[in-house]
Amino acid sequence: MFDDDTIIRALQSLRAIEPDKDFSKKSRLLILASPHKNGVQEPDITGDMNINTGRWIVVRSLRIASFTAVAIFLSVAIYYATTQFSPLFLPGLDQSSIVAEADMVDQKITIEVEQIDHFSAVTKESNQLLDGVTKSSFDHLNSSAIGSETSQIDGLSGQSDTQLNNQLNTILQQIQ
Amino acid sequence: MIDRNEKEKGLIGKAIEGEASAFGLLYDKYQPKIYRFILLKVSRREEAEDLTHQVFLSAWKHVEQFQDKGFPFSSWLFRIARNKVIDYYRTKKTSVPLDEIPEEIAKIAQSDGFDALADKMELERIYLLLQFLTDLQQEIILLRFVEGLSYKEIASITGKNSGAVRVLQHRAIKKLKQLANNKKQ
Repeated sequence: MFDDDTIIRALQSLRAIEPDKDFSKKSRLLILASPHKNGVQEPDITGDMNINTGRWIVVRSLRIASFTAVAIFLSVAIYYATTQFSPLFLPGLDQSSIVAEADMVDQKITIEVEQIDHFSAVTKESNQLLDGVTKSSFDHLNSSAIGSETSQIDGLSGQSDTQLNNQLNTILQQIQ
Repeated sequence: MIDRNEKEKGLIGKAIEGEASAFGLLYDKYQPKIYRFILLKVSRREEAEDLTHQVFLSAWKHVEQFQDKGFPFSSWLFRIARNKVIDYYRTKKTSVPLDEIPEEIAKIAQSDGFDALADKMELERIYLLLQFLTDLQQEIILLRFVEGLSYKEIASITGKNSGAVRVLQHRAIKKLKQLANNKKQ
């Protein structure tokens, strides 16, 4: 007859079930060799943690720390070198204001060049006009003609107005 | 002297940090229990080994998800194992052979602890009758009497409250008793 105790005793005897040792060993190795989120893989450890394992962890941690420190140092050094030793580097200078200023200078130069071109063209035209004037003959500015006109005017000083007018008309007709 | 629970907490903390040797110690401690639980659920050694491996692989990969609720680490492992077994039956669509005694059960029956033939027969019969229980009743019986867990711990693994676990255990034992006595007659 089965009673509660018999059933419970039979169930408790199932505690004797053990996994195969080879399976357990292989499974353990495979699991511990698989990648972990925090990425600290260790050498083949099949038993309890010993002094070598502890030493390995310390060495591994130091190695990671030193790699990190070197990487940070190099990053800072490269940044410092590219900024501080650059020929374009001026401390406290705003890059946008430099660009705006350069644009203004460029515009000023363009305006000045245009003005120079304009003055050059005007000078050229003036020179051409002066050349034309100096090369043409002006008879009325001839010194002998001016002298004869002066003597004629002087000779007319004692005559009447009518005579004087007539003589002036004659002279003007001659000039024309 | 460091408390046992504190030592386990320390190992879990190191495992979360990625220390494989710490997880290795947790594996050594709990792997036989998880294997036993799974074998008694699926009854085939190869499948039990495969599922046990998967349980510990999942635990190792997601150990940071473990939340300390005052229960041993094994509670979390049993919960993973339970889910793996449920997935196994869902995908494989196989059932436990009702007349087949696993090699491991037969070995126990033949060991020195079982001198009387009656005891050996009782063990094999109880194992076979376990298959007639519901999945939940089976799990509660195995966790309570094979693994010796508390009602609270079983409740945390199965997602039931302690009272429900007690009731389910009572019904399961009653059913086993009825089945065993009917067969005997």
